[in-house]
Amino acid sequence: MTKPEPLIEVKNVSKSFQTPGGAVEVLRNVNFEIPEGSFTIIYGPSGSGKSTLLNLLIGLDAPTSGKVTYAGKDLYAMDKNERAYFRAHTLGMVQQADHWVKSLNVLENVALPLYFSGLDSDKAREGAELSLKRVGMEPHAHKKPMVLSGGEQQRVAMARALVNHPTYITADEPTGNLDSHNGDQLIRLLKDLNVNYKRTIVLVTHNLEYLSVGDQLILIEDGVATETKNTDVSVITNRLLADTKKRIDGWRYDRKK
Amino acid sequence: MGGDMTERNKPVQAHVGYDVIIRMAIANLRFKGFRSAITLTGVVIGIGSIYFLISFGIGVQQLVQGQVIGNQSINTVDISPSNSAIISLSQDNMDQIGAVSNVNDLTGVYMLASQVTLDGSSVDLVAYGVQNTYMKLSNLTIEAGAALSESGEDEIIINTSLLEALGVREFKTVIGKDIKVKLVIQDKTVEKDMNVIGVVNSGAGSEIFVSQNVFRDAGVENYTQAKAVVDDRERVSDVRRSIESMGYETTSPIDTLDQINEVFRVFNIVLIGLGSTGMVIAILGMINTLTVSLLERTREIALMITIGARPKDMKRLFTVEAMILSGFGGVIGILVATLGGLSVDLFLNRMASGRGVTESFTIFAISPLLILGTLVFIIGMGAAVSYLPARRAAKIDPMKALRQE
Repeated sequence: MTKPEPLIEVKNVSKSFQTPGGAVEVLRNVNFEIPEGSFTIIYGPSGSGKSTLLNLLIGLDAPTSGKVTYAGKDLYAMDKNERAYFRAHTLGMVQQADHWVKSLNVLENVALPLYFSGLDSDKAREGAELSLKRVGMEPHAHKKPMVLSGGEQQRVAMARALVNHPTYITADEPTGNLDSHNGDQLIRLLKDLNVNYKRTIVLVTHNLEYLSVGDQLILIEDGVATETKNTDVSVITNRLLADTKKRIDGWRYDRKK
Repeated sequence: MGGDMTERNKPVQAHVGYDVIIRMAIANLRFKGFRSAITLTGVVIGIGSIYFLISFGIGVQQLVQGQVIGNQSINTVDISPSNSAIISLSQDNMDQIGAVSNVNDLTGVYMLASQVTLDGSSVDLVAYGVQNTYMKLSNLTIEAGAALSESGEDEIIINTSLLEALGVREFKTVIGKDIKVKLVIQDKTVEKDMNVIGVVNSGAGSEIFVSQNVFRDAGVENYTQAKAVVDDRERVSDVRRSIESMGYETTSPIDTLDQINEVFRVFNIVLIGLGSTGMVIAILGMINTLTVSLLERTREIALMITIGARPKDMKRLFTVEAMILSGFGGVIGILVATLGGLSVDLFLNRMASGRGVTESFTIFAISPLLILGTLVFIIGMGAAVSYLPARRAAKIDPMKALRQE
């Protein structure tokens, strides 16, 4: 069996932020590949650098050193407009709820990626309507997104992520605000896009329940990435549980002092 | 799939259409309806007041010009010898003046002190020996009776001031009457009975107008003054220079017009200064609205950049919002100010006609140039006011903005 072509390559990537107390290194020499058509899950405890890594993968935040390539092209060798074009045409992003342009209704919020691809407003809205239909949210098209429930908002967010028929879909803690039923439904939809439509999915989560869905797992801990197979779940889970216990005990100890 | 982007590795040309930008801008302005309405009102008041005052300035200027210059052709030059002992307006010299380029028409006039007697009462006055061209060029319109005929040596036109001095109220009653005219020419006196054929309104002093032949027959050789018509307003000063170089003095309605314009230039600047206060407040209101809007929408802008908007699209969004506010507010401002001006004009005309003024007048000018200028100003204002907020919108770092959750 031949190894599938890597769609995304992360090479020697480090990222640090300047704070008043000095530079803080969030990612340290991260290396991995995301094959085309894979379902990759980036996971790890809160504050470990997952979201920073995802932002690097979608051309939003340049690494301090190292390279991120998409289909062989260095994302950060492009200018801002080219990266905007890449996101508008290639990428679908499922964000946490309440990421909306509040003055626009559901339909127009979903149409945004098409607007930014240069479609005229009528065609973009037609596309948005189809996408809303796919997630069963077309009856809410003319409401403001803020009046919808968390689950409904997440479905609209999904409709927006899929409206431009992206080949590459990322989801940043998409189940964060959802009950388990809605969370499951969303992950099922992502898996369906991956299996049946060959979309490349990158899911960021601190929720370990869904790790078995991914075919490539990347654990981020203190800025260091470790690539694992999903068969290693029990090992990883045990380690995370141990870490959590250590943190909680440490906190209790501090209180006593 | 992945090759999608490499096929389009050229700089991006696909624009977010202006229809989309306008749609989004309107949606945001409507979303913040109350705030937008307040800002819009500020712009309406600002633009409206400045437009109202300037249109008042222009209107009054035109009114004064009309009153002072009247129907007088602006292209005329009045010529008189600076020293009549040396240089005179003889027929030869008149021919020379007539030959100056751009002089279209030239007519001489005789002026003498004289005395008229009607029904026993006498008045001292100025007598003019004229041709009909002169009457026309001097904007002397016949109030009653007729103009001088070509060979009418016994005909005389008198002015209303003279009639008042003679105690005549009904102008028409003097038409056809004989009047005794005494002209003092150098050392001799010529007395003549002349028939009044017309009445003109020529000013505050008593004046009579007779045919030039009366003066010529009495032995007057040179004209006292002449009036030249220049074919092009732009050439008036050239023509004046040429004539002055021959030793004459010249005056022109353009002098008066220039003086009027000079006064009104200052007047209009004062009005613009007054109106600017409102405008400054309106501009500050717009800057405030856009800045607050920018701060409120930092995350939305970050979100839009994240899902594919270019920074320059965000810049455009803010510029278009400012343009809508200033454009919409400006057009309403112009309309309101125009309606206001028309109402004041209507009111003043009604009041004036109630007091016996028959001629209608306009104090608030509707000037296409002013409307055009205001529209250009509005566009410039929108662009200027949005400059900083738009630039800041384009510079928003989506990472930082989204991290501020």
